Amino acid sequence: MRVLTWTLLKCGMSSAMSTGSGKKKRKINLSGAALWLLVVVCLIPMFAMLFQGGKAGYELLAPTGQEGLLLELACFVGGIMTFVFGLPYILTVFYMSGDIQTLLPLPLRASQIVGAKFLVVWVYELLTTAAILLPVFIGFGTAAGAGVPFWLITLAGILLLPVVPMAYAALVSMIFMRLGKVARNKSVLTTLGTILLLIAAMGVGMLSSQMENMDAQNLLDLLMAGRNSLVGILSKLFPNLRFLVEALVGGAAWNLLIYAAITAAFVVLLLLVATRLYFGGVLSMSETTSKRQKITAREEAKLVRSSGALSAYLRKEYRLLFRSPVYFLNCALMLFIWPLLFLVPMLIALIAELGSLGSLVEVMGTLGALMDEIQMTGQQAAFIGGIVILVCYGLTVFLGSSNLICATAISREGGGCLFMKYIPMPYRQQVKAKLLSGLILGILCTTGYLLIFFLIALAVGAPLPLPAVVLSVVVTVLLNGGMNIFQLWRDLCRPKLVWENEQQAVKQNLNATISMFLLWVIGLGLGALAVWLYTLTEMSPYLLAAGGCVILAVLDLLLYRVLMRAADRKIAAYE
Amino acid sequence: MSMIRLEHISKTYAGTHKAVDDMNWEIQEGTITGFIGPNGAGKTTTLKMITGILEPDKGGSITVNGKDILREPVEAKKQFGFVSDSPDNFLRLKGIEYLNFMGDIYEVPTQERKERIAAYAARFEMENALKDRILSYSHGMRQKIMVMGALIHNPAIWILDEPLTGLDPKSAFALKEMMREHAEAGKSVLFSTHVLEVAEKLCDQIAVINHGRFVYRGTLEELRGQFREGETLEEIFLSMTKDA
Repeated sequence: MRVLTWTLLKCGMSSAMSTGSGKKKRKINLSGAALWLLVVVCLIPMFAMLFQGGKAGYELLAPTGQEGLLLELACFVGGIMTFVFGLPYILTVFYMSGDIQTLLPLPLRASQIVGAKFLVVWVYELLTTAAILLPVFIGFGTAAGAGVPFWLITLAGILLLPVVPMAYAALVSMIFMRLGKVARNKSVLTTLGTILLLIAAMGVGMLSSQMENMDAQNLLDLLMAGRNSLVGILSKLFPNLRFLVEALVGGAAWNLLIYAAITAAFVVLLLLVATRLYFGGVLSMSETTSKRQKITAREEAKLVRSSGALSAYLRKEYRLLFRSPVYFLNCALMLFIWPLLFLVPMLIALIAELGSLGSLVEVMGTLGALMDEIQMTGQQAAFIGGIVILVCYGLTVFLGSSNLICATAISREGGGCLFMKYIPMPYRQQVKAKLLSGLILGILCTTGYLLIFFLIALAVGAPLPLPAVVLSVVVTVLLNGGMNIFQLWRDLCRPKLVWENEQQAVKQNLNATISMFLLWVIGLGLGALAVWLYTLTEMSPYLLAAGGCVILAVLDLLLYRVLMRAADRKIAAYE
Repeated sequence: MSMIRLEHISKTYAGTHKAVDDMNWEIQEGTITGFIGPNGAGKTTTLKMITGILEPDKGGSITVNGKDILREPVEAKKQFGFVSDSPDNFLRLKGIEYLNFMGDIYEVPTQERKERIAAYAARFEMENALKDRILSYSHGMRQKIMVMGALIHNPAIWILDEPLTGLDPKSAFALKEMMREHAEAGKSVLFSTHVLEVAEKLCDQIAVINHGRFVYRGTLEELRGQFREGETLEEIFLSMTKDA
């Protein structure tokens, strides 16, 4: 198993580290290092914020002796993130990666394959977890003036932290894929299943984290008791976390051992379940169903009809995106389900808190009536409008940057990109179709959803100024345009065309990650600039937003021109 | 009239390796031309340059049915149908969706595309497979759907890279028959192959390439005339490419 694991790890890692088309090795290695450096530079603002969060959190909670709660909260959030991002990843690595067809005929046990693949995923998840948690822990430790044991426990803790959420994701995936063995359309099953599992997981996470069973007096008593008495209250979902936190805040060393033992128990459980379930699910993945039926005249009339080349190309893009679970889950899923992912679990938690759906409706009614009574001045309304626009802006930057449809549009072609070169369709036209594929979904899933929220808000009587709604819509549309053009331009310039399985084209595509981080930095910078201008000049938020829209529109146009020029030059150079 | 014309075409990879070296070639209308050569001789590179996938080194020109592939790429690409050596594309599209997509790209009117799809499907026995995703097809079926897609616009020139690989005998026969009919209609077929028997039975012209240069161009009869009587095409080929 050790050899297999090492081999799989090496293959997986080398593929992930490569960028571009794989030619001119030396040059690419150098530019690859530069890209990694760029990633780190882009992340510096986030690291700084997390560091400050850890430090400030310690200073806030330490006087009440509840500083451990911060660490637990950080670990809990890290765990949920690992689960949410890890679930689609585990599904694709365990069941849809290209090496499965090579591994299945080999004399390997299910536990060996699952163990090795689990380790590969762990490496990636560890990078994400460490990037988020280490700055918090460093901030916390610095503020606490922690000694060597704290830092050692931090390292050990973070190393093992992704294991339990990943084990949950792997167990859920294996049960799900085993149950779905008989399904005819595995792609649809995988996609829908992942969405449902993610929503369910977020709901469970919310429920497990809320302090619903405790009345205010009990909570206050625990808080006043100090000595990190609140540790363990936050998360029941990850039973090992409280022991890590206990060890970190100065508890006995055996806490760390229990933490490691619980983690190990999860791995053992996973391998045992794998022995029973893995082959059953994975073997069915290679089965493809076919109807072998003639097309009827009616079907022919529907399926065979001419349309413009651009719309045909766009349809092709969407069909391939939606029918490839790996592409859909990694490039578009978040965009689609973000309201469900955050709102449904919140709703579940809220209903659980209030006791029933009726109580929630009552609360909403009271809230609406309260809002009706609020009489705002024009300036107050404009201020609220400004905040609405800013929130929409932030949301669009976050969601638009996680929309990887354009960021991987060329990379997803892989070796098939040569098709782009021999069909009689100008490169610019093909790039336009690819841009539209990301842009349309981006606008639908940000501007579209926001419009629905606005309508709901207006329905419950929220004082939503009309100029804010209009400007928010314009801002989100223009932002989507700019971000998609930027992402596509980056992928066009440095596509990852050499890959062995679909997962490498999107999940292990460093270019897409860099585009995402760059957009965060640019988005944060522009947002901060707008806020700074507002505080400096105190001009109307609407005027400021309108000015921002003009700047965004000009930037979009310039970027579009750059993209079209690149389309001609770059695609011609693909070999 | 020449359907494909290459003048002083070279291709150098990574600045050092010359895959195709100063190639001059004319392919006449009404002919089937077999393109033969050992692995790495430059066949695929040549076909990729003709189809616009690769850009040749500076100084040469390629015209396809009178259209320069470098100056009028879109117009030139409309003149041919190309089947690459890898049929594993668009696997998640249904066969019929792929054909309709190709019809849209090549601007084929609805009625014509319906008729062609029906005709090709019948010849390749694919009628019962068009509703299924290409992913569920065997290698041979994938090859057939790619051929059907490449021919949907009834191009003047067929350019096929190893088209018979993976085809069952009946489909291989059908394709060869179609190639012959196409040539007899005054159009051209250029295909690469490793199967010498196919070249022997099917081609009006053959071109043998080695190390990026032609070692022979002409008819089979002319070629045989240059060698001892009774020598098989295989022996002739091996002797021409022995330093490969």
